[in-house]
Amino acid sequence: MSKTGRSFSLRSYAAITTARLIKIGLRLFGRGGTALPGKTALKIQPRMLSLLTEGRRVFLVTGTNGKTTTVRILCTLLGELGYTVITNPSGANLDSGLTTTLIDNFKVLKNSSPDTLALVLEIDEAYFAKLAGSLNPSVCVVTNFFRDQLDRYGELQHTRDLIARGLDQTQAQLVLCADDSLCASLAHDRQQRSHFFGMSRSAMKTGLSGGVLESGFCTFCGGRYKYEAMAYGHLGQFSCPDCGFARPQPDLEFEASPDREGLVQAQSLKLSRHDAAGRVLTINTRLSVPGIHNAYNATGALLAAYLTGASLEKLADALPLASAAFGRMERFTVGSKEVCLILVKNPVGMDRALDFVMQAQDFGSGMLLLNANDPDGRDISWIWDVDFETRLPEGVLGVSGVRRADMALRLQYAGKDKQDLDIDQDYMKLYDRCLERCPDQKCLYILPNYTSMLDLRAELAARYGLRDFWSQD
Amino acid sequence: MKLKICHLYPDLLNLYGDRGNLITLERRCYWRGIECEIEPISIGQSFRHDAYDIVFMGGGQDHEQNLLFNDLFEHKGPQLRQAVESDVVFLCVCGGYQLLGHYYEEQNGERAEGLGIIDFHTKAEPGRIIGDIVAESDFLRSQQLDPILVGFENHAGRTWLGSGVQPLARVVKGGGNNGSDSTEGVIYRHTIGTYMHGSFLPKNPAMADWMISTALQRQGQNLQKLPEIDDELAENARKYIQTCK
Ligand SMILES: [Zn+2]
Repeated sequence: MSKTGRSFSLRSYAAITTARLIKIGLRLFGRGGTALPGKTALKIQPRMLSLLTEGRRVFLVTGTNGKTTTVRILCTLLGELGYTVITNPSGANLDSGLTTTLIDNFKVLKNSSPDTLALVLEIDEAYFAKLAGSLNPSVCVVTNFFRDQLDRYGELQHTRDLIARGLDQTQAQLVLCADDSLCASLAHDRQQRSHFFGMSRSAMKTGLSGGVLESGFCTFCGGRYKYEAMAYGHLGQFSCPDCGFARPQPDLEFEASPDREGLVQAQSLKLSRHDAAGRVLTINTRLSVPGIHNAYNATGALLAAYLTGASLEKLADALPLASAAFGRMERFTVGSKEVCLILVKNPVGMDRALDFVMQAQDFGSGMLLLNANDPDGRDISWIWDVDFETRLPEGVLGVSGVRRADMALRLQYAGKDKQDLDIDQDYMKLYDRCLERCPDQKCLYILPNYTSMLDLRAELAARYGLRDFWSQD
Repeated sequence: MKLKICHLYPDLLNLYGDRGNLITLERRCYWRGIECEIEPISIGQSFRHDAYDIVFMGGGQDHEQNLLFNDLFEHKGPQLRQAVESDVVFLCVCGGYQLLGHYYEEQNGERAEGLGIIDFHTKAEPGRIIGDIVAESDFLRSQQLDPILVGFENHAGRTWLGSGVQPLARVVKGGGNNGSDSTEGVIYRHTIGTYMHGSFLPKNPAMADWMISTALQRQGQNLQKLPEIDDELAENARKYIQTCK
């Protein structure tokens, strides 16, 4: 008998029933709404989230980038360990969406014991302080702090402090990125329960990397960090010469290399586990998602799953089964050509995506889409922080989205001739031309931001019968 | 012909695509065969008022802005003032703009002193001014240039200009200096302050060209007019902001 069953009041059941009725109503009208049912339930029973998660094995994932991929990988790993896993669809990461998710899964929640059930919840970083305390987490993963939608959140240090406040309301074990100074600083005063993941020092580049250093100054004393080696962005072997704060030794490290089976959308990982006695256990595995940033996400997810007491061997075996989260990186075949969608939301994400596209042997044609709706952030000046100058795909580039004029202007300043820019408001007509331009056996790479991805993917799903992404919830 | 550009505190003041302003200056020089060198100057490095033709200072996160106060006041303040007074072309955006005034007052009444080079002050108020902005500049019109400026603003500080100080432009859409007196930015000698961040110069090529030609004239270069550049793409981006909602 689960705890949930005993402690539930009439009020809670009323809240759940109402939410379910609303959900059924929305479905009848063909909507996949995720917020409204939860919102209503919270009105009736404000303690809903706390009641639904009490006594459960709860994993929270937050941070600015990589949440969805980390959640996806963690779910796969826990599933392979034999857990029934409940998770929220990407985007439904505020209290209302979380409540809807849990109510949708109420039967499972009620009928399975905490030993066989895991909740893996993605939490919006701006709401973490508000939500963490009521979700009863046993593990909190903080992925990183990259500049993202600053017009919404103000500043990174502030975001870091919000997450710190949330962590203080829980006794959860913490899984933190050692190479991100803001993230690693969260272990301060929480040393006993902190666990670190990161890139192997020997795999990092020495000498300062280019681009914008997001947090080049010490969180604690304001000193300028020294970097002995860099991974990418501001991630690296940092230390503060003034107060001594430095990158902690990761408990779990990775070293990434090109996939040994030669797949571009995969990579090989060498994982090293450092124990308290200084012993190192090394194990090789594969990740079916490309990019260093995803190697970070996978290592973080693996460390979180490891805290359940599972063996590293078992987790390494399960890792290749994890696939990319919706839209982050998705490939499908159209006749003799391939199409690859890569979601980009900010300068670092765009730099990584362009790196990947530039290295892809099968690059045939490219297309960029830029919207500035509320979920994207209204401010698109971040495109000027992207290092297009050194990462400009060759040939004609397609440009669409509401702010296509800004993107085209950016590309012109990066060195594209006007006649090599195919600019069109109609993104499907543009898609057709870009696909036409792509040679056989090659791949059309499309880099949209969030809402332009949703628009484009809806059309592509209808045309090619791609799996509907609402079916995930 | 060669221009030397100083980028002040690039590692501290680099919010919202401020890089775009430098990329624009550099490219527009390059396309016209004008040589251009950008020197980053940060904490602990000296700044000399007569070493540069153009100086740029962007906006930053509050945490990082506090770090540069000591350096700015103790080591660079007097030289910066001299640069402004001797007509060096100077562009400051957002946080960098606020630093040129007398002070910045937090909502709790705490004051951070500014350099006091131009007569204005800034007070933080609840609620940020965020969104697209369009403004009309009598100053640019007086230079026979396109008077419309477009950009994006995001600031909690409200800036109030002293009585003798000329605003850069009048707000047509958006908040500007303080959201109530219709002024946007400041122009003093060859110094421009503005809340339009990020892609200010890319989207306002007339402003960029004014900076370049003013800097060249100040060197004593005898030039009638800068060679034309095809700004159709910039024009499209400008049109979007002027016509949306
Ligand atoms: Zn320090």
